[in-house]
Amino acid sequence: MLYTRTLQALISELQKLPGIGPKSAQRLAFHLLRQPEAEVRKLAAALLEAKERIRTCSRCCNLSESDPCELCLAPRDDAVVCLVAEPRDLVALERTREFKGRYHVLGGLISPMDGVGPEQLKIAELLARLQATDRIAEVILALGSTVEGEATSLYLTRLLKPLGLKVTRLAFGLPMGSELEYADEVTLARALVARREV
Amino acid sequence: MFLGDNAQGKTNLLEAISLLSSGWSPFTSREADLVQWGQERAILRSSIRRAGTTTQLDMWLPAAGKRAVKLDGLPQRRLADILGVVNMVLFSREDLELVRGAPAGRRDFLDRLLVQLAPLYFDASRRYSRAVAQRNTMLRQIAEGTAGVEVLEAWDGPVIRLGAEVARRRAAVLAEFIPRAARWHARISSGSELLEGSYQPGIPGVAAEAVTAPDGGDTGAWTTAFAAALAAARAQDLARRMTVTGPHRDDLVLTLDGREARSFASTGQRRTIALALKLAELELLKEASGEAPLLLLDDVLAELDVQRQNHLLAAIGNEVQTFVTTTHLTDFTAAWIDRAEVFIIRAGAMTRATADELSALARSAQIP
Repeated sequence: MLYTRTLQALISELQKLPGIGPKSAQRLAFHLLRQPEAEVRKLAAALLEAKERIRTCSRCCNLSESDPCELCLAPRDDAVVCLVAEPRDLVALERTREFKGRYHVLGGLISPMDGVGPEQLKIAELLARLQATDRIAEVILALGSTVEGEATSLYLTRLLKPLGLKVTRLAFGLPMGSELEYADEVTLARALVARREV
Repeated sequence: MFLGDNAQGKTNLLEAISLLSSGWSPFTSREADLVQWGQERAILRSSIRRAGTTTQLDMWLPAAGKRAVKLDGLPQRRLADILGVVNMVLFSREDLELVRGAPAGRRDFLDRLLVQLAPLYFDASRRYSRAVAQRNTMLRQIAEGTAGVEVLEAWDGPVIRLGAEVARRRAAVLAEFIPRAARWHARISSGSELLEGSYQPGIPGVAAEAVTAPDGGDTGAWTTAFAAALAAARAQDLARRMTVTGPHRDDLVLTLDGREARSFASTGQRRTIALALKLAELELLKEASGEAPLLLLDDVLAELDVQRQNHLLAAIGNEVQTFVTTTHLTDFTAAWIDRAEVFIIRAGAMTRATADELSALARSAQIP
């Protein structure tokens, strides 16, 4: 072994992170060693603290430090629940400041190849939530246009429609501020199919 | 011409051109294999010179993760954005088996042509493969009792939508391609034999008009047929643990004087057909883009007899930039060698053949 055992252990741990190959792991390890001890302690403390304090909200399954989370406690429209795959999707939607309803984070998308079926997602929690109240009238599927997103949307539509809920999904449209000629033809074709009367 | 022993890096060069042009490696289906073992990434850089302009096309291939592509130094959002910037036709030894080989070879051939004609086809075809792979995994899980059959229907949605798109585009390109291949074949065989071809879709029950329509017909016709086929084959899918209908089962059926070429054509006839298919590909790409594509001949030229080499050289004319790899010059006609710039590849390094080396090589070339 070329590195001391301690350094090799650090490199191996870093390499377990997504998107980090052996060379990036080495680079990060050397970078950390060059840092003042206080900086490294801050990083270690932040890692531990995040892991200890962040949990999932028992209502919407988003990551939160409190339970229920701030979004579930905030005065918002209880009639609409927006379904997203991951917490980062929720953040993207919140940044628009246009949505005033509630969220539900599925924690992924159905993907048999990754061993993810409906039971690995927070679908039971969603159904329990729908059963617990009759104030929810609409569920918005905001699950993206990957094949996994499409399949998960189809699965949920079949599950939720019979409950008498209004089920909607985000429109497939053109990126704003872009010219028509630059849109790819799949997006353009779908935008054409979903055109609106003005 | 790139001359070198095996494992010196000749094919590497052609693979790089193919990746930049079609996004696909003809030599491996595993993305990780494109990167040298133990390295984090491979980088391809190219400059494409046309009358008055130079385009810079670069690709970064990480050992794991998404490829990045740049056009004139500017990062592009999708791989599809660079497809078709430079077109190419690859003719390798494997193509000599196109006629006799498994349908998968003919589908790959079609797909490589399609991504260059319609770059977004790449996206539809990749997503379709992924949707089918997911559905097949699902079928195995159902058989093993680890997943419920109710989730299967959710996968039918993307499979049908993307599969219909793939099939329609293949039908459309074949309507253009088949007549050209037949014309080239008539020319090479001096009209002694009649080559015909037809699209045999992996989606049964599609209206005949859609299969032969110049634009591949209405997507709706394919969608309806695929939905019905998938529903009808569901029990079979479950029993065999895989999706048995769909464009991943497509074939291009070729006949010579009415008899199926796959089983009846001789070695010589199969080579003539393969050459006709490649020349039709070249012609179609040239018509579509208004520019002759690059032609890559990987170790194949020496496999063609004098008459076929001459036909190929005539078709190339003065406008098709051609990259030829070979281990020796002995089986080439003098006309090919005279017109070539010869490079020698040793251990990954390339040098222009010196005058001495060239005359030594030319002496050993035996065909007048």
